[in-house]
Amino acid sequence: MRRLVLVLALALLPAPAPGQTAPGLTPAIRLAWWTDAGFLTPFAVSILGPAGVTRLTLIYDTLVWKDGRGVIPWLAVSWRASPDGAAYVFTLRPDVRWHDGTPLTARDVRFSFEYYRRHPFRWIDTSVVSGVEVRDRRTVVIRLARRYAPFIENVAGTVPIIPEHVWQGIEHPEQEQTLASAVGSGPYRLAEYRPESGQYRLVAFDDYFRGRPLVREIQYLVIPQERQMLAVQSGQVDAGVTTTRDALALFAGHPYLRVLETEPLSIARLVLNLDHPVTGQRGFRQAVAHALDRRRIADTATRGPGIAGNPGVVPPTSAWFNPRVRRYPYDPAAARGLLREIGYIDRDGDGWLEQRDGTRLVVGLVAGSTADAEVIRQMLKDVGIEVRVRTVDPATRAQLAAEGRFEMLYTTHIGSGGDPDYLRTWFTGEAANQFASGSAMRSPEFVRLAALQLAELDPARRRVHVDRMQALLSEELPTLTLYYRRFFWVYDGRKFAPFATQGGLLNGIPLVDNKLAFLPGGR
Amino acid sequence: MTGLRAHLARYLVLLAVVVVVTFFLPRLLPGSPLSGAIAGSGLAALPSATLDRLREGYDLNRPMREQFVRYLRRLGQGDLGRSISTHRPVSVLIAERLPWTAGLVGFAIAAAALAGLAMGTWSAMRPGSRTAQAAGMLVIGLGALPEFLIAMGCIIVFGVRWRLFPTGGGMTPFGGGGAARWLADVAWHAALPAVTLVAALVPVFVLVSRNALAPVMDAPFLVVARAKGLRTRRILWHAWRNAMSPVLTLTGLRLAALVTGVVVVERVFAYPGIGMLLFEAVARRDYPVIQGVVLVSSIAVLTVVFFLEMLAYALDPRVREPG
Repeated sequence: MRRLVLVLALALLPAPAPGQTAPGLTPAIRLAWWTDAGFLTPFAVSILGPAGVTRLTLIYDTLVWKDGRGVIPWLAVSWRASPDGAAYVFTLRPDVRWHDGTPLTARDVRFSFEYYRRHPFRWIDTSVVSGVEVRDRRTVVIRLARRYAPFIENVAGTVPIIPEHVWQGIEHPEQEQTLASAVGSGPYRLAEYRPESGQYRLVAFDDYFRGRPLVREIQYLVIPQERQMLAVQSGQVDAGVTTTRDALALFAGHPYLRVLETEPLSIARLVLNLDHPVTGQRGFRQAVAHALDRRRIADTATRGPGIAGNPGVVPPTSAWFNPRVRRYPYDPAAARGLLREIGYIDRDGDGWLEQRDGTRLVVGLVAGSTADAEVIRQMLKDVGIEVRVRTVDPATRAQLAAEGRFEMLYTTHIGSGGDPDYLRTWFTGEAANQFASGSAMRSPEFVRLAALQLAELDPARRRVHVDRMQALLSEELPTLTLYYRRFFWVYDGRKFAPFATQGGLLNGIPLVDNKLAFLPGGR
Repeated sequence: MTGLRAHLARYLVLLAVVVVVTFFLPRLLPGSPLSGAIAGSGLAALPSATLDRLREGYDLNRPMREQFVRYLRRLGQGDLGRSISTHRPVSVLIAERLPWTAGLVGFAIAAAALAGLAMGTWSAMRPGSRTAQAAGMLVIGLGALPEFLIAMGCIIVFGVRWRLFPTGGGMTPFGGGGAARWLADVAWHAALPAVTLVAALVPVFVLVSRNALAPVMDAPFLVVARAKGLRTRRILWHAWRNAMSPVLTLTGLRLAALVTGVVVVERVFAYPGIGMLLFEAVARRDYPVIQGVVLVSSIAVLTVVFFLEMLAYALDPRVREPG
């Protein structure tokens, strides 16, 4: 009888709300993404999408990190550049341990960069590091092959530091896919990975140097993109993402679901082939810029007030944005005027422009979906340009781009946040840039400025070069930015409080699983 | 026995063709694993070292003929290679996924065959009946719907509106419990994908079995059987032995077509089978995985079709002694 009373009394007690089983602690959260991210070591992780490298940051640490305002100390408590800018001295925290209890020292930092020279970290280029010297247990000097302005954000803040005692002697690290090899120093340990379903279970590492993680377990599930909002609403996951603004209205006033709006870190752009007889003409490209109503395209694509594309490429929300570039307001008459100047005239009065030899002006457009391409086709039709759309899958589009087999190509991708060196990698073709064949800038001045900004460590002086690069891009228009996309993360506010990382995670990733959101002290 | 050997030899030739085709098929697709990696990364550019490593690690910098010879040599040793995107052995990837698809397809074929044969028999026994005609029209209508439409309908009605079944996945993530609970959970998750496949398959079985049985029902040997007062079950057994051949042939043919249907259904339901694996591999141009999945599915289909042919051979004397 006494037992029955006890059971009844317990049943009548108010049930603890989710995430409140212990004060301030959340037992587990579930996050959605639409693909598997591979095994979580720096060598086996999938580079198909940013999810893998982002999850790595929960298991591994970097020398520096980013919060909502910018770069902050992490494994390194302090750092300074050498007077010539070709070396950085980092002082490490004394209290960092690997998940297996071994202390993390300067030797591990040296080993990491040396190991990445033989087995590259596939997300970011580390070849600029020419050598690493251990001064003492906590001090390490990283020497660079040249002055490299984005080093702190793009290398020190991105490259995972790995334990020497785990990876030493391993010749095929991409094949090491056991839990024993996924040893990091980060706030979470990989407890389970189910590759067939792309599910991950990360559990808190209680000896973490920044304190005991508040979210005790993080699970990742594969949910198709189009079903993520439904999954959040039904409680299947605690956070999911969409790129349309509908989420703001849909969840306004919801008792516990909140919406986090990221910086516009994704770019939608029209790439114009500089080697093609038609699109290679600057007048044609500028006419296209006047003919496309970028504001309307942005509003339609993001279902709300969108952010229209800047002809200088850098998003207007970025600290590196240069507002003094050529703007190209929507003006079909100006577009027709520019086309007339280069000899495209409607000679037979049928509404379509003809070339000098009397043949109709027809331009090809490679795109991933008919809907995206249709808007462009219609707007260019209004100024007399006939567009023939070829819809292909992303891998085919990348191949056509790499081979320069396109006239115009519509693409969306991330990477327009963070350090502005992407202007160099996108438009000079130095990295394995998929658009290098068609849209690399021919201007010697642009190439010179790209090199100058890369070597300039003074932000103010670097800004002058970056500003001029944007101005040149807006004049030449190797690409026309149509609009920028924000990511709208819908999450259960009772369980955790994500925030938008300044410039995006790592090199501009618009994801919200910044480890700071799960740690005491937060952002 | 000689006929059986000749039959087996034909299947082996077919298998050799499949081995060659599976190598060239993915390479005929536009794009490459390198373009798949760049496109999939979501970035405009990847480090050159990353692409160089992919080229070297997966023979992509070798001439096509050399790649083919190495593929054959590895295949001869039972090695399907490693996935370009996950670096895991393709045989392991397939072994992880195959049970999910085999269970789903096996159940769908069995259920569709049983339901289809029952409905076809019921319909064949009622020639001229309005109910049977109406049922036939309904079945034809159902057969005209593509798998993805049936799948979306199932998700909206049973998953979202009534919340009876999960709308995706193969099992509850990180769910515990014993074997019975696990089995129930897997069956619960497989319900909607299975219903979709069964709904897509049933109409074909109904129509073929009805059309195979209907002419037999009036055959003189069955008139005699009825006149002798044999039970319906006995009469149907005789009827079915005569009508079985086209149904078995159809089962084999549908199995091949079902591989395509499984890709669609597994994609819509995010079901962890080989259809989903193939879908992802094609998007990434992961040649070793495409090769492995196509090869294994082709061998599975050929094996089943071979055994079905043997079954028809054993059951129907007309197949053994044509003419």
